[in-house]
Parts: sequence; structure tokens; C-alpha cells
Amino acid sequence: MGAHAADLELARLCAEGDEHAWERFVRDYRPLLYRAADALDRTQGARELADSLYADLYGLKSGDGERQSLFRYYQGRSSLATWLRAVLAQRYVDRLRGQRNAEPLPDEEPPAPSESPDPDRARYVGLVHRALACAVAMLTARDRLRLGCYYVQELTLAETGRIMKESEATASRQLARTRVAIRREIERQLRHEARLSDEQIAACFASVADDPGPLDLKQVIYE
Amino acid sequence: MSDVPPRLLRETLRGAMTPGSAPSCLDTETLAAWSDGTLSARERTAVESHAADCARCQALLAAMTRTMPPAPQRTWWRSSAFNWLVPLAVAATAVVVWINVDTSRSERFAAAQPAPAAAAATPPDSAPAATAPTAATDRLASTDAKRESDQSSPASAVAPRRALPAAGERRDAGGSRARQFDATARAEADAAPKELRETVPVSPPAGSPPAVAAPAQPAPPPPAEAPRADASPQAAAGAAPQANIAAPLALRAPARAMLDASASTARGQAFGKAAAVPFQIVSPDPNVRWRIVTAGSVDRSVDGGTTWQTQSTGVPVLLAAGAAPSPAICWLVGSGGTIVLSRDGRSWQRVAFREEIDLISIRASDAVNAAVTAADGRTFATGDGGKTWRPAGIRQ
Repeated sequence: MGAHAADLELARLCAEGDEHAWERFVRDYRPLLYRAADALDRTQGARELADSLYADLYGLKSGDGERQSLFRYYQGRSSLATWLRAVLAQRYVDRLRGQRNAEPLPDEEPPAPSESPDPDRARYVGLVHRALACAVAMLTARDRLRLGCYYVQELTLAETGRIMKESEATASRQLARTRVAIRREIERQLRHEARLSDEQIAACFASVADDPGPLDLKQVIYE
Repeated sequence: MSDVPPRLLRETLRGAMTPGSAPSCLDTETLAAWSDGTLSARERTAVESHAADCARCQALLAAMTRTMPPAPQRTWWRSSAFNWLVPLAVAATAVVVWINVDTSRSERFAAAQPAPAAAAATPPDSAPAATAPTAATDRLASTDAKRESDQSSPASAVAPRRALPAAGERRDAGGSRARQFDATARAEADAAPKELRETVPVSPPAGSPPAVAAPAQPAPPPPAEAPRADASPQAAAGAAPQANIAAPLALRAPARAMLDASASTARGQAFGKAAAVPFQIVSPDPNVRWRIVTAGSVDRSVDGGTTWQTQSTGVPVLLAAGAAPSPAICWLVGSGGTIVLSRDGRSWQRVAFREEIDLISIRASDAVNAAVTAADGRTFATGDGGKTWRPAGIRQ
């Protein structure tokens, strides 16, 4: 807390409407906010978020004439710059999620998968899906977070490592280890619970490798 | 067996997540504190546990990471791939220190004395490094191999206990006496690291030509070093490695090069240790020893250092080093070519030397045979009790 005393003082002065403090804040932090916005959206679509943030930071006067500034929520647990990035990131993510939820689903039904020559294919895909869900659930939260950052959020290895507070190489190794663990757990379940042979297990993996699955549809929706 | 398709893994992970926007989701303060790394370990674990299964908070972490300024590039030597250098350097330092403590050129010198002619022909300071193997050096090698058994003999029992502390003692003395005698301190500081390097027992490869030994830089004139006389002993000692790093080194073997690579660290540690060790010259009889405390006098103890008696050396300079090949014989050297010798353990006689150059170490096998090392690296030997001195080479 004490390490960010200057930031707290600046936020307090800005919240109180000190013009000099506000000028200093704009001069010092506008480039930072724009850089963060551009990092979130390279098409500069997030800059309007950054601009709108200024209004909330400057504060709007409520009915009783008191200024209500967003700065009041800055408690000094981090630097002011990081806090501003967090506010911007929250607004960006919430806006993105809101847009996705508002988008209508496509009217057309997805094309039906082609006729499979293997009559067991659907069963194999279902077995692998269930085994995979169990294997993922058995992972530690840290491993799941790492997987999610890399595969769902599509961060780079370096960015994944920064989230996990580990090096890029370590993140890569941990991801590989987790994937191996998942595969072994799937194989174990298929072998011991579904009573499949090695050939059938191989066929299961071949099925999911060829199967476009519902994920492709989700990918279309989300991306 | 094929791997799990990333597409399938992505879908499964997404399906396992909650949509978010729950009361337990990360607030702005927590998110910023997480980004700055100011969360406690427990808070951080809680954040990771929540974000692992919360789509919104995981997206928040990802967005925060994307907005982070780029991490500073780590220099190659700070990368984790080179972290092994730290324990390696520590291990090498330990080896160097151990070798310096355990091995003594004086031991070789004393062991070689049964063959005075050979020893005279092959000065001890230069023989192991710059000359071809001789009968004397062969004996020295065998002496090294049998060091453990030889320690029981009177002749060799002297040298290890005396000369090895002496190397450290000289460094110690160089530090502690810097306030009083800048020239001597400077000479010792310049020479002590060379002592460390010199005592590394690496033999030249068989058949290899003698190493070309470049002379060390002579000590700078005293006025330029005058301010250092007021420096602390540690500061005076710490300056020595820098001076020696600049000097060209003639490495005699790869192993030597490896040891020299960590020599600066070793020297620093050695100086640090030496600062706490009294500067004493121990005779073969551990009860009989001398210590150099002030200019013009030395202290002698016959009870292992419990009590001390002051003896006048007759020379008004602070002596730098000494060697006591027997309980009654002790050589001391100092600045300006000062050499004093005691043949009875009580009285001291000045021994003439050919040059007024600072002498920083001496090795002796008796009252007749001795070899001194000057601050500039040259060594001189005598076989007649100091009446004549002949150049014996240059030590690196």
C-alpha cells in the first residue's frame, strides 16, 4: 500500500476535481491507456473504451452535486497504471461477452457429418468426450488454468507463462506434461472402464481426430 | 497413439467452465493486484483456482496479460540456462580454496631439500611452472603423492602447517598493515592473488614447451596509492584482484584456466578469510611461531601462541612474510629488499639483498637455502645464507 502512496494521492486529488492533478493524470496515463487498448484490439476498437473511461474517472456529478469518480475505487493494492489496465480489461471483456451473447445463432443447421463407414464411430467419439471431460476434471486448477489460457484464450506460450508466473519454456513443458497426463487418463478409462482393446482405443482417437464435432460450430460463433 | 486434438481439448475446457459474472469473480482491485504480483500466496492460489473454471475471469487474466508492457529482455548470462554457473562457480571456488589450503609450494621445496644441488639448480618458485621436469621436480611429484604419509616426517611436517597459512597470512597482513605501511600492503595486495594462482598444483603437459611467463606489472609508485593506505583492510585486499586481472596470465593447462576463471571469487573469499587470521609464521614445531605485528619487531611464542615475547628485528620496516624451516630459524622479508634472519630464534640479523625492491614472500629449507619473491614477480635464490642471491625466474 505504501508503495503506491503517490498514486493514491493522485487518485484522491483527481477524484476531488483538482484540475492540476487531472492534467497530470491525463498527460501521464493517456498513452498508457491507449497502448493497453491497442493491445486488446489491434483495430483500435478498444480506444473508445479508453476514452469513455475518462468520463467515469473524471466523475459525474450526482443529484446532490457531489462528484462520483471512478477513482474512489482505487485502493492502492496495485499501481495506478495496473489498476487502469484492469478497469479497461474488465470493460473490454464484458463488452465482448455482451456482444457474443447478443449475436443470433445461425439459422442454418450445421452440415451433417458424412456417413461414417465405421458403425462404432459415434460411440467412440462419445467415449472419448466423456473420458476427456473426466481427465480434465481430474487436473489441478493450475493445470486447467494453463490449458485454458493456451487453448481457450489462445495466448502465446510467453503470455501463458506470464499468467502462471513461469517462464515460456516451463509453460511449454507443463502443457506437454498435462497433455500426456490427459491422454494417459483417457486411455486408462477407455481400457479399464469401457473395456476397449488397444485397437479400439486407437480407433477412438482416430475418430475424434477426424470428427469436426460441435466445437467447430462454437468456434464459428465465438471467433 | 495419437494425441488429443487441440480442438477437442478446447471444447472440453470451454464446456467445463462456468460463464462467470458470479459474486466470487475477480474485482478490479484483485485483478490489478494479481497483475502486479502483490497478492499473497493464498490469494493468488484462490485467483488461479477460480479463473481455472470461470470463463470471464480467465478472459480477464488473458486481457490483462495482453495489456502488460513487454517483459524486459533477460541478458543471456541471467537466463535460467546459465543458472548452473552459480553452483559451479561456488564449487570451483571451494576447490581453489581447498587446493590453496592443502597444497604448498613450501612443502615441495622442503621435501626437495635433501638434494640441495638439484634444488639449487631448479629454484622452487619457477621449477614447477617454467622449467622442464627435473629429478628434483620428479621427487616433488612423488612427494605430493605421498603427502599424507610424509606429514609424519619432521621435514615435511613443517612446511604445510607453516607455508599454507603463510599465504593467507600474507594476504591478511597485507590488509591489516595497509594503514601503517602502504608500500608493503600494496606489494602484498598485488602479489597475493598470484600466490593463489601459483599454488594451484597443475603440472604442465609432458613434452610441452615451457610456458612463456610475462612479468607482472610492478607496483605503482607509492604516492599514487597513498589514499589507499587509509582504506580498510578489506578494501585494500579487494583492490588486489583487480590489479592482477589486468596482468597477462600465462595459463599452463586447461584445468588451470578453469580454476583461474573463478580465481577472482576465490581471491575475494580468501582475502575475507585471511582478514580474520593472525599473520603468523609457524615453525615445524607448532609451539614455536612468530607473528609480525609492528614495524621493527616481531613476536615469538614457544607455547603455540598462548604467550608472546617481542623481539626487535633491527629494521624499521614492517615485514611482509616469513618462513621458519625450524624452531630456531626464521626468515622474514619486507619492503626495500629487507631480509632478516634469526638462527637462534631470538636475535635477528639483517641479510643483504641485491636490490631495494619489495619482497613479498620467502621460502626456506634452512638457514642457508632460501628463495624470495619480489613484488614484480621475480624470484631470487640463495644457497649461502643470503650472501649472494641469484635470479631464479619470474613467477606468474
